[in-house]
Amino acid sequence: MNWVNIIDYLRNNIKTLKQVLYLLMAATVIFDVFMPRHEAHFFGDKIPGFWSLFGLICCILLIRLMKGLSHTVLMKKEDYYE
Amino acid sequence: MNNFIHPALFFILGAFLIPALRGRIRQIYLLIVPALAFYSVLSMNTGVYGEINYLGFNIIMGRVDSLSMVFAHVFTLMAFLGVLYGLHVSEAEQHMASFFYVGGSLGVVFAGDYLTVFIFWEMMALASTFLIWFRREPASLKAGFRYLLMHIFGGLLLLAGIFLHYKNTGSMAFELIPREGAGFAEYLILSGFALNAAVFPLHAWLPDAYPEATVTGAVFMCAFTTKTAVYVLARGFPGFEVLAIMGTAMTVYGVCYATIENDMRRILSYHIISQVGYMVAGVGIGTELAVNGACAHAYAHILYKALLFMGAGSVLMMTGTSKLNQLGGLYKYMPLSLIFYVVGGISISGFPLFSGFVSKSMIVAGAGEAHHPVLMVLLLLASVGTFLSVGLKLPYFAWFGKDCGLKPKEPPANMLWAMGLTSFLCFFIGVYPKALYDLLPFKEAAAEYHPYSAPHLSETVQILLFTGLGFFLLLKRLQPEAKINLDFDWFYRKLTAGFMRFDEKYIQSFDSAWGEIYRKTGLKLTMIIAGFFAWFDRWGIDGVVDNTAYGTVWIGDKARKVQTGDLQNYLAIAILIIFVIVGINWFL
Repeated sequence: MNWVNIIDYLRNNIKTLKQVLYLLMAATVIFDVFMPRHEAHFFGDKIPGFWSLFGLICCILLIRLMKGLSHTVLMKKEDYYE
Repeated sequence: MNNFIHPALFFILGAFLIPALRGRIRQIYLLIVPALAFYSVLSMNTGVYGEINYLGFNIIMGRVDSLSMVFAHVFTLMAFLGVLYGLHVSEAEQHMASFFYVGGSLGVVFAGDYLTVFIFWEMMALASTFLIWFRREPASLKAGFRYLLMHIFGGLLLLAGIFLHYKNTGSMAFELIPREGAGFAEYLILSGFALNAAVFPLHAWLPDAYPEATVTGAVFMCAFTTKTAVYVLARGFPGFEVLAIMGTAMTVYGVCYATIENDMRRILSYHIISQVGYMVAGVGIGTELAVNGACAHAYAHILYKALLFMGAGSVLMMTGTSKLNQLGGLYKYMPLSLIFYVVGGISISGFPLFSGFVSKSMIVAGAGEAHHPVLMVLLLLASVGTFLSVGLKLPYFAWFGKDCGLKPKEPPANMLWAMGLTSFLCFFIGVYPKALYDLLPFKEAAAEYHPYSAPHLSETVQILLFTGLGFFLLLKRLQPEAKINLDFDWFYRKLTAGFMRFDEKYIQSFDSAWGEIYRKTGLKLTMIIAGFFAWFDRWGIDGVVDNTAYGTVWIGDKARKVQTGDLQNYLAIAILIIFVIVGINWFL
């Protein structure tokens, strides 16, 4: 089995791969709408699709905020301590 | 029934034989030792073994219960995998250091009193420092010293706490500490343990030291130090609110830094802080479910984190760099390493069917059921960051992204085998969580918990998929940069450098000015005082001594003249003296 060929095949068909992933995302949200719910520990547990939004927003905020903080305060040259 | 052989014995005594063996025989020996230790853990029964009374202290070397068993189980298993990964290393001393290191953490796990804990605790710190130094780079040497100093500091906190605790209670027994009874001594012990668990703000030693360790040493280090600390926290301090809060803070702090780091092993180090945060939070929440979760997560984490360090280590070993900005396009040359790494990456992210899913969720559910919704949401936020950095960013920029032009080979077979076996275990725990849950300290709570429920599956898959979407939307912004980021180690690295400058500028200049003053005035003053003493010596002391001597000579000279050798004279003098004495008596 040649792993490189499999990976190359996936890379060459990136469009199909993307479509599959979008379908999968849609499917999880639809599943969440019709899923039986009990034992909510948090208000978000009752809202369908809440965790999708949570994942997307947290991911974007994390990148934006931390990159901003890094560029303004934290980032130093690699020989900073020498 | 007494079938307890302390597994640390295999490692600590076994280490001494390593330099005597060569080649294939040594390799077989290195694998047999952890295998025997693993077998001894499997075959031991609960109970208290090796109790000795020494100098009035009750020393317990072997306390075996369900909590120590689960940690010993994964430690010995991990030792086997780690040795397999490092089998190609020919230097005996590297293997010895890792054996002592593993022995130390097993010693802590089975210790029933604080003295034993402390001794093995320090053994771990020292042995692991060598795993950094053996990289033999100037940066490693410095990082190793900083690592050692931090751990000595932590050890001293622990020791001070132990002494105060002993003074207050009169007992050295290492037992559960009730929250109401915890005073200054207990909190000192807690901080000593917390430093090893890399609890914020005592965490900076970890991302400072681990990226500088040897490729194989880092695989051991990421497994033992922090998880031994989780064990002692779970043993002594479950239910301490402060741990729940600090642990959750760690999970978020770690993922925040991992987002902006460039070095692969530094990213993974920050994720140790993050993942250990889950365990610390689980211990802090303190319910049966949460403590079970902490143990399960420690077990799963040791395996997948080692796997991640193995993957990153292979890249470092084969390309000579672990900086993401210098890597890219490696999938054509190291596809197996990529696949094994990705198994680790999706395990840590908590994908269904992999180990993180069945362990992390236990802690999150524990937080939810104990009515800590804020902690629960923050823990889920951290899992977004985990998938983002470890599951997506790191493999993307190392194995895909732009082609860096490097054409490395796959690592040696033993490393691939170690990664393959660990990958299998991550998968196995994910699909058959009962194997892990059966080891946990609270069996009933573990049996009641079912990770593969519809809401949990839905929540996890949604978070993961949409994190992936966010990653690809902001891919350009995540471009790795050849920079470092400040962390709390700034305080001891820059402040000590500042102190050295202060020392050079003020203390040292005062010292040299003082020297100058002394040379100019002090020397003259000394000469004057010395001159006086020379005069006094000559005329005072010498005068007395010399005149005494002259007097003695004079008396001797006179007395000599009396000794004529003439018997008549002697008799006359003797009779004269008698008369004088009688006369004196008569008149008095």
